[in-house]
Amino acid sequence: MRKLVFCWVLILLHGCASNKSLEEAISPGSLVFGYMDMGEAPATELTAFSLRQVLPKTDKPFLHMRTHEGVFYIENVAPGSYQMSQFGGPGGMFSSASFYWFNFPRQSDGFRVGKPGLYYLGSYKYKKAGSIFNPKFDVESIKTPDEREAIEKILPFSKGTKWEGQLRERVNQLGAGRKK
Amino acid sequence: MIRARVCAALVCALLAACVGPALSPVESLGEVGSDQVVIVGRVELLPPLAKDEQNFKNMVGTDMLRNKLLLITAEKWRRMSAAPERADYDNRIEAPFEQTFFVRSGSKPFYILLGELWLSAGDKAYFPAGFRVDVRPTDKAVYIGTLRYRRDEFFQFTKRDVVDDYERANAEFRKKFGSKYALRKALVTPVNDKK
Repeated sequence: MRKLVFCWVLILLHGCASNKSLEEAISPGSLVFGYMDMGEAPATELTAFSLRQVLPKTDKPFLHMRTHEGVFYIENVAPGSYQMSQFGGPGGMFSSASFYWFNFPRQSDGFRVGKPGLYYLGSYKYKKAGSIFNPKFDVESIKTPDEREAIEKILPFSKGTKWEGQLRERVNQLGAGRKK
Repeated sequence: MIRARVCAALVCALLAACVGPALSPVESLGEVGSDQVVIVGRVELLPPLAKDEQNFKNMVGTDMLRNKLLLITAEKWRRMSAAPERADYDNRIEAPFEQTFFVRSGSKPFYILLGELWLSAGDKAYFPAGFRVDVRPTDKAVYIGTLRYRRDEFFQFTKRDVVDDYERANAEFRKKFGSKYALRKALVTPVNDKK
């Protein structure tokens, strides 16, 4: 019984900590976002994603992003150079692990944030690789969902902030969405 | 946490224990057999490796990895498109950055297939190589040049040069081994196997 209560407390705390709403834009910060399809991953969904700040050097290089339905995003990212660092999510009911982490190698592509704005990192899919004894993974670029669809998923969390206007403007630039 | 630490330590211990020997550093020419040669060269990385870029915390046996590039060598050329396997580490050159190395090799030509830098137990950076080392049976000591790599902040290489720094290398060679044998200059040549 005690364990059950403890689990509920953890779940409640997790809910509080994973606030999806964007904070107001602070210049010269940018909004960075992308999408990760976890369909092939042992994790049931994407609930964690972090970036590593490469330049300028800092004692706290890791930026923990918000996640929602596969979209990872974080606001007020300072100008600098960044790499994707790590992502993960919880294992399923019969999974061998309660949480799965996947690390990007340090020798991987990065991106530079310059003038304030929106930075779409792309849409990706987790792909299994290696073997059962030596599990590995690849990340493959995918076309859908695209930038517009990713924005539409996080737009509700930008309400009342300056990000909302920028996201709506970007949706207009991208034009009409795919026919369903 | 303890399990992760033990695993990290084991990875390194296993690497040191399971892979074959590296080309031995030479301290005196008496160690060099009649069918062997001293390979002299250097590796430079620009900007240099920062102290915090390698993290071997809680790992053992990391001397072969710390501030060193493992140059994977082979007698036959092949383009490496995947991480080296255990056997590939045989006869590697453990090249310390920014220092001239003197290692003992057989008197046959060989290839440098790839460079591997360990950043942590689970993270490595790979340096493009693809060089032929021209060793002749009559050689006693061969200078292969300085492999100079330039990188960006994401550890992607923007330039790779073979620099002729013979004067400095020869001065170090003479200081270390005397002038009994000449250091022949034979800078590595890139393998061009593009079709």
